[in-house]
Amino acid sequence: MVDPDDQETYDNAISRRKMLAVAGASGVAALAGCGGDETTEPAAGTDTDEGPTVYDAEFHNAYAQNTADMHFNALASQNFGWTMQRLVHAPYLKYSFGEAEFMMGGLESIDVNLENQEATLVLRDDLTWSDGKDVTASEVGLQLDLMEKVGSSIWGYLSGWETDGDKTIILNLDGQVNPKILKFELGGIFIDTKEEVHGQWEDASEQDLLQWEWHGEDDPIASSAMFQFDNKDQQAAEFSRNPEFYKADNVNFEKYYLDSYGGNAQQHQALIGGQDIDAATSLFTPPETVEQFPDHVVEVNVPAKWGYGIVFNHDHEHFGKRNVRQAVAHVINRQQIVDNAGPRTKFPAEIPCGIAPRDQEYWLGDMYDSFNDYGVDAAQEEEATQLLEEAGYTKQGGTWQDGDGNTIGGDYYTPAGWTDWTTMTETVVDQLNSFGFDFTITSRPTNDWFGQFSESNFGMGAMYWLPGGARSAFPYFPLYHQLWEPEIGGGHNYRPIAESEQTIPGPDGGEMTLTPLDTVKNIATQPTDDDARPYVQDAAWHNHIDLPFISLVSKYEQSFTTNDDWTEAAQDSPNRRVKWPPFWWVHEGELQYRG
Amino acid sequence: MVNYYLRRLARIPVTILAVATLTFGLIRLLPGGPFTQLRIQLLRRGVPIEQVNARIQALQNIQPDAPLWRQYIGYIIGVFQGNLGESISLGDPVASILARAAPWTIFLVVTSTVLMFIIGVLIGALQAYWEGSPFDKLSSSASIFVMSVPYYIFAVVLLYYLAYGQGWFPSQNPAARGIENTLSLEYLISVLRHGALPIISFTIGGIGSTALNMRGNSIQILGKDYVEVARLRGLSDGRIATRYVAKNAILPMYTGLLLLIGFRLGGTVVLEEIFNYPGLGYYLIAGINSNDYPLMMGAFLVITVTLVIAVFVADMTYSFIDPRISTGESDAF
Repeated sequence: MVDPDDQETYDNAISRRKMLAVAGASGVAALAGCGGDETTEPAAGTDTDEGPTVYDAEFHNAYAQNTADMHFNALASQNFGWTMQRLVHAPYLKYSFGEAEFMMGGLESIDVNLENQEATLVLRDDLTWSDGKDVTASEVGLQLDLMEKVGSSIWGYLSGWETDGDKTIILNLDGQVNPKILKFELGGIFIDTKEEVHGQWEDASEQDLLQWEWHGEDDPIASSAMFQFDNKDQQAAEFSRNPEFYKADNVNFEKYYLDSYGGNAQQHQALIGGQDIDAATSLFTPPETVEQFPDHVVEVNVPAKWGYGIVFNHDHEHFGKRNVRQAVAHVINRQQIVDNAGPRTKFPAEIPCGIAPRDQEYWLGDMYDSFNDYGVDAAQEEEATQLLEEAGYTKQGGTWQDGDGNTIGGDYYTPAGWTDWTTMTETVVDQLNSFGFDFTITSRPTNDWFGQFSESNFGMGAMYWLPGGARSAFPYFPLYHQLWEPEIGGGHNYRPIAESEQTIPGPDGGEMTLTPLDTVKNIATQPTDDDARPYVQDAAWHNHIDLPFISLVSKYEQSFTTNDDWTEAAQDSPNRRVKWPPFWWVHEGELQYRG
Repeated sequence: MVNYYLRRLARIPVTILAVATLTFGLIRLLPGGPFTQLRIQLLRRGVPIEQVNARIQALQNIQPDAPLWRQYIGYIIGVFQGNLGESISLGDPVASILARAAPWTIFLVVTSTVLMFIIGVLIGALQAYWEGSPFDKLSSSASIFVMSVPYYIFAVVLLYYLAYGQGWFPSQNPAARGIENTLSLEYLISVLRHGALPIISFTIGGIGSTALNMRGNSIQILGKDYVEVARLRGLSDGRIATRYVAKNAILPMYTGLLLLIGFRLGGTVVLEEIFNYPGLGYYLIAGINSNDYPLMMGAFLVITVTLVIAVFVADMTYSFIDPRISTGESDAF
């Protein structure tokens, strides 16, 4: 798209757009193949009897990877093209970060009956494949079977499934499961399993299924969403409107391209140029670059539920002590971290309690004010001093030391090349060392940084405290992440503590006894938010007292679309903050060609 | 003489073995394993850890955890059989990935090196011809300047102004999408336009050194007795310049030219990354980013083998071009 040849193509496309806008374009019926020569061409911007005007327009969305290598098997080990998937396979449901509610995709309804321990999923009547055949409940069952084969997490909550007719599937729950957890699990799955294509994998080995690269050459890619896959190469993946899509009226343009761009800088330049691309799904962009974008580039900030925090090694001589961890939390000024690293796209945790920022008031309710916020915008050095002195540390020559003269500090591991994380690490270490800790920043390549934690070869370091994605909006996931830390194999050595009974200071001045892991697991089994709330509050209270991690900062994902030739979702639209705008807005008819 | 050629030929597999061994060892000193990056990607995408483990487990058939000696022997046998293994990150045979990429890199390198040589020789000859003139002084300064600026600086500047700024040239890819990859004029033009900026960036810096070399050689030859004799014989300036001076000044640069092609092949890594140009360097970086051992080793090896072959060809053909060089008596370079 950036090159002049492609520019030429783009210009042609523009002129085609203009021409078609004047002359009118084929309606949906023509695209469905049921109009043939008899279709009339309506005037631009007017609806036909059969559907809306469909323009011969092209939408170009920048993609950071080489599209030739990407494929459609969501269960595969690698090279799965998640952006490609969102164009051709419909979601079961989506989560709106703006409204904190689920929105239906290919599902008509989902009903969780905790008494019977089952969930009933009803597919839309008009949910079909692009060849016109119905998407059936048994195909959903096949998808679940394949997911079980590869050990998908949804099977942590299911014991089986059965169909009830062609469009209803009943999921048997494995005990009590909070409906939100099931919805978050389903929210990450797309309707991609077609009996004719995927049936062959039912009896195949797990390994074969994981290594199957579904490029569409041998096994056709049937679409259940807005577009059909046409072809792809190293430069782009090309898609055409799917007239069989259940909301086909929402899609008023013919072509969608995922253009392969080498990296962020290329995408920035393309957006600055203002003509080459119409969107960039997920693109970290510093403020000074955003300022260079033309006015028609729209930045959409979607909460990432992911962010910078601190992980401790709980077997460490210093950081294994609660007082030291709390002192660290008191000293760190979270607002200053945000100010240094990007206040436009980052925000601090109001309370370091393991729950995502901006969800805390909802979950903590009346208890919110009882929590210690450790000074969101202040370095509370007095409190930190008191805690360290209580723990037997003294300040000698400006540095805190234990009885043997050992300073509190060491290597502070941080991933190299993550620029915003580097800034945050520098801020944190500067604050801590100014107070009297003795840290040295040690940047490691991502692989090595991860390995350092999983091998418990650290005292304290930078680590994301929210696991990321929509699921992090539900407290179970981030709280469990911090206690168990499956991603580093429990290298923070908190698992034995999480599994054992703990007595900590309670909110009412007394003591509280709980087994942290059990408390968190209880959240997952409650039928409603109200039932889950007491467990969330206990788990969050424990988290903010014992600090398995320190919750510091969360951030927005930056997604870009354009509004010169294309419409955008209104600021107050529930679709505004749904991942990801260049796909979901098309699904909902909020991103259309202006004509 | 035959022994000389045989000795030279026999050195090739030995050199390749040494390079393959060195590459094999060095790459395994990199921190992290081949799947660490993949693990992090999957985790960040929200794939649960159990599933991540299962997915990575399924890839273990490439045996990155097998004993090092077994991996080494398997790799070396594969190399000499032309089998470079399968890319961990892309899932395709490394040989086919590199075969797809190599033509683009060769196109960039050969075109830019030839251009660099021709332009450099012409400028150098003129500098020598007008030695001491303002042109000579100006062009010598310019040559030193372009020599001292890394090529990727030119690449970034050209990309910024001519591609992003003016839109005169494409900023990435080897050809426009949608034009069929055939020997058509349209395709050829597209390839040239897409290759223009990388080639220009890679050419500019080399022109300086070539021009200065040519200038030095020419001035040296201009002072030779046989040139004086030619002048005394009344031969035309043109004949003296081409037959006597240029020919003898270019000869020493011939070996350098072939070697340069080999060296510059490795220099395209940054260039291809800047222009998102899918050549050998592009895949080398992709391999490094994902700790894809087979892809990394394959790319390194192809670049090295090309250099070895270039040296061999230069060595073998030099004596034909300049009969004064006696094969077998000198093992220069």
